[in-house]
Amino acid sequence: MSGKQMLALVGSPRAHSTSERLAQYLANGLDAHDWQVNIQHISTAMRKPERWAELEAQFLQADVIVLVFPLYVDALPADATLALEKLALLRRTHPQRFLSIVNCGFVEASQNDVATKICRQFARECGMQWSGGLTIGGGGAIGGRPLKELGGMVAPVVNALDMIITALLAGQDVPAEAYTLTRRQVVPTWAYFCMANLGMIKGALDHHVLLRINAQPYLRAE
Amino acid sequence: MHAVILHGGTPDDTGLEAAYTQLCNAISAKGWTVETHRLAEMSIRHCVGCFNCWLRTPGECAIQDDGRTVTRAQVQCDVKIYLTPVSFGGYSGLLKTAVDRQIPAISPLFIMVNGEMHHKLRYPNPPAFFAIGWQRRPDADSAGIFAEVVQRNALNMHSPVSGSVVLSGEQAVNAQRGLIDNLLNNMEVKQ
Repeated sequence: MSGKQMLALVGSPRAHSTSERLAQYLANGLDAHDWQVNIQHISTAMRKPERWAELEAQFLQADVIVLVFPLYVDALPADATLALEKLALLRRTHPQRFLSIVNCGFVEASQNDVATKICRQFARECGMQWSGGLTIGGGGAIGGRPLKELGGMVAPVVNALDMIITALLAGQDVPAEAYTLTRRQVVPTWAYFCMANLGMIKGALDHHVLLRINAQPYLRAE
Repeated sequence: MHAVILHGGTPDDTGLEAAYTQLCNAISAKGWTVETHRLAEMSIRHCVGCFNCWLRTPGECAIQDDGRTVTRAQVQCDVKIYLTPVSFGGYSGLLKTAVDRQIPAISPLFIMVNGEMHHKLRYPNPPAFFAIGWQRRPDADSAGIFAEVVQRNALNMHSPVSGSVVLSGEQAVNAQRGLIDNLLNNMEVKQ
């Protein structure tokens, strides 16, 4: 046993989310090397005191903590923010590394940059070692499906996660190559843009609201 | 002009409360009306990412709580103001809960803005937007991140005018008021 422990915090409020799949991939990779890995879903833990107590205990024991989350309005989802506010109050007793993996539905990975800075700031304010952040654009390509079932479109993400696993095993930070890999767009902007709009139109069509997709129920009466 | 304040602090944030008083005074001096939503006193559940507000009940969140009230107020105002403790450079979790619930106010469809993907507007004439952050002690790093968050939000919400300022507990009340006045004045000049 390596004796190392990692806690993966999943910040998506959805079940079987892209964030969960990313965390699971990372966990499997480290688990294969005898790391003790725990995965906690923040939104569940925030509403179940016994689960939160478990999360806190794992947080305090972990050598590495990774926060995996979807971009919500340019930042972390509210529950993830509330969780970090609570975790920041805990008295930690040993050096810990913190890293983040954020994905967004926009094609540009750069839209995740401010959220990553918030994670870095959390690490700084808590006195943790910031190990870097992975930013993933075009999250719709994963769409909550297991990474191994997906093809070449997510190959850069899988390769980047493999690099992170190798780096963590060696006690290193997120490598620059991993960061660069997920910054590169696999699909051209115009193609992703068309697919994303078509996806929304299809969704509205499926739910019989296409003609009302831009409804304005709160329009101010002048 | 009608201003809506989303107050993202808790009752024990005494410093933030003093800043709130200064903000109300500054708004009153301009002759604007003001409507405050104290989020700590409201019942707003977190966004669950179901996208029903885009694809099942367009423009309206599936969760029936005060989140709907806050979204409606933000759509209908002329100026939207966030007042919040700075939390690792971002908004407080309390404010972020209300902010995440705003997505019914934008369209699910995408457009390109400055070469970047964003959601389309759902409503015409989006309000001006500014945010006031609060720190017990000044911290330049988190204040810088806060300004970036506000800038990104303004872009995504298509705000015609936006700005932010971070106040700290080490500033005199007069200094805080001066910064708030500057922010409001700059907005008027831009408009």
